[in-house]
Amino acid sequence: MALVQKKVCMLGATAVGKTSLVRRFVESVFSEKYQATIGVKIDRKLVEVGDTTVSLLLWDLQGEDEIERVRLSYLRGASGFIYVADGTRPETLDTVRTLRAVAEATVGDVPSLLFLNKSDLAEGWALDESAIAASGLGELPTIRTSARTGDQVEVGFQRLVQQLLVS
Amino acid sequence: MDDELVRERPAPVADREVSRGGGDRWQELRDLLVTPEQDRLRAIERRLASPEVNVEEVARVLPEAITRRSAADGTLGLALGPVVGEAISASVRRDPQPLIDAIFPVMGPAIRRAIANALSELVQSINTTLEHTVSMRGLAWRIEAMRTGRSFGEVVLSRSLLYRVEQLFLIHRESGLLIDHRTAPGVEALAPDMVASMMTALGDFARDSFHVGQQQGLDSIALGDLTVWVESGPGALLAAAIRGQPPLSVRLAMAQTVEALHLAHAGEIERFGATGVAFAVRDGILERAIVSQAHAAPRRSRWRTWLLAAVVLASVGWCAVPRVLEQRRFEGYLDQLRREPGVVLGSAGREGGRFVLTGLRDPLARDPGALAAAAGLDSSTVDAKWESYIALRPDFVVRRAQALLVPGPATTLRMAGDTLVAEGVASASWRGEAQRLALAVAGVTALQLTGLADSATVALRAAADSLEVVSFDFPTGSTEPVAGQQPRVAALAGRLRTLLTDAASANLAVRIDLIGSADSVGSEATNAVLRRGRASRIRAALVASGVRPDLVVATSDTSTSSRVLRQVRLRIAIDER
Repeated sequence: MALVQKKVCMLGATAVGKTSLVRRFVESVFSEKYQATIGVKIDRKLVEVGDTTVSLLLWDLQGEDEIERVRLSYLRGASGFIYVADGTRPETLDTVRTLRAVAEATVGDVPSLLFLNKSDLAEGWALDESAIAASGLGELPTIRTSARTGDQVEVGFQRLVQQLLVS
Repeated sequence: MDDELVRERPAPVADREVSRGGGDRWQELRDLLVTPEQDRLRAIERRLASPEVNVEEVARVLPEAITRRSAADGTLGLALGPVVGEAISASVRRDPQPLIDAIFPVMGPAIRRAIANALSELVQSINTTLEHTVSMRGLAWRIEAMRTGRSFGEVVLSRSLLYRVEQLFLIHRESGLLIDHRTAPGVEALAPDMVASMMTALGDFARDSFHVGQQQGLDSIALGDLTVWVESGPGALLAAAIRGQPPLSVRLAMAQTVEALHLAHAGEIERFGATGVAFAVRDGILERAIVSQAHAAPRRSRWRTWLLAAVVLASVGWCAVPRVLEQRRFEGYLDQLRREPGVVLGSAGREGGRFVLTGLRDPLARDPGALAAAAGLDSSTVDAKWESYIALRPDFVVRRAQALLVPGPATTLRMAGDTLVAEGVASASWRGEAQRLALAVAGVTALQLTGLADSATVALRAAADSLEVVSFDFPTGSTEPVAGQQPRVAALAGRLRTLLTDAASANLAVRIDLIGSADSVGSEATNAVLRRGRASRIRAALVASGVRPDLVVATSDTSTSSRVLRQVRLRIAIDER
């Protein structure tokens, strides 16, 4: 059983449910207060692909609406990114776009994934295909997730890992 | 000549010549040109084909080839690895002795050293534990152990060391991912990969917050008695969590470790960033940085060990020594029993704290219980079962014979083999009883009485002896005794009568000879007459006093010795009838 470690950063605007999205699916040692203090919380997610176990060291960065406040140092060395947007707030998608630009400028083009969270709130859903395409994030693999139900989260991780192993 | 041929004729013509039969000349030419080479080729082929030559060649180059290859890289070692394993297996299967002989010089010292190390570690840990068990500090540490949930040993260890590197992280610098991780024995590490990432995040945070150059990383984190030191290299950094007060030599060791790591694994460190697959760090590189140093062991700790040992020994002695002494007394008692006449020891042992004995005892033997008391054994701890038996020892048989036959004081009994021998003097009636009863005594198969004198005979003889002292004197030339002999004669007669009566009752015949003698004065004929006459005279006197005449005989002294006597003496013969 080979073990592969990868650093993955999670980026998104404030209150998109980034942390609660993954809380159930990851192993945590450090509490959430680290996000408020040093701006990042480290979790681990183990994903099995065939014979290989991939250990994702998830750097859950504090949600930022203002791009200047993102700590670029935390992005260094990342092999992949998970962007999280709130399906009921289209402006969070814009934030993701900006974050993505910064990330790619810092790290380069690495496998990424977009979680559209709060899929359980069907009636408030504001992001349809056209909106996503218009935001310029069309080529990014997108998954509709719900932090409340946990819907599609594992699928999302699996997809990211497959992309990571390929690259 | 052939060269000329080639130069002068144009090429096509030469070809035609060849096809027409100039082939022979071509062949000649070719042979001339290439024969030496052909010969050499054939020789080479022969050599290549011949197996002995091949072996020779390989044998010649093999050592150097091996040396060269093994200096270049480790492929040869890898290739030989399985082969060496098989070779050893085959050797052992065939005959293990050569391998045993070869390894033996190494195994002995290695095993001894391992044992010595293990023992000294054990002693050291006992020492340390003792030292801390019976001290106030030890109690405080016990409380701390309970409070913090660590084991007492861990607390002791952490407290008795000056410093100790507890954990070592090898972290990829860029991504913060953990490449390798080591812990000191007894230390539990909590999610080291996440800790490594968090440490990297902290470094990033500190760098961002305090306007430090981009190349700087965290150097150290200090928390109470825990210090985390970080040494950075270009590709990876080494973080050590140290408990206690580490000296700068530890940082130096860490720096050297980082250098050694980059020297050995620079490429792999770089690849790790892309692949995320950890590589195995070469043995010994990281271990160099796991250092610790203990407090100098104070001398006084020894006395606790000694005290404990003394207490243990004393208590062991307290219990063991009385037991040993008792056992020895018992052994002594058993020896005594084995030697004791009339006692046969069967089994002897110890059961449940009591001594158990069985055996045989002749009723005439001494009481084993008394012997036990004499040997110092508490009789209540001895369970003895004695079965009776009859010992046929001579002294016991004699005692039994004595008890049965009741000999008189003048009679002695002894055993000669199976024969009871009675010696001394005993009455005829006792003799008869002895003959009747002797064989009833166990151990007596025969009775010998030849040495036993009849008491009656003995008494008679004694009486006769005293009578033989009596003599009567005669004047010269006379057969009449000197004056005043009549009372003596009468007394003698009385005694003789008593003698004869006793003899008769003892069934013994007595003959009394009166021997008359004369001195040398006068002629032989006269003296002969005198002798006879004197004896007759006394005889007549005795018979007149009542002695039976047929038992008294008057004779002459025929001995040629002293002729001075003018006497009549007695000689009494006693015979069994």
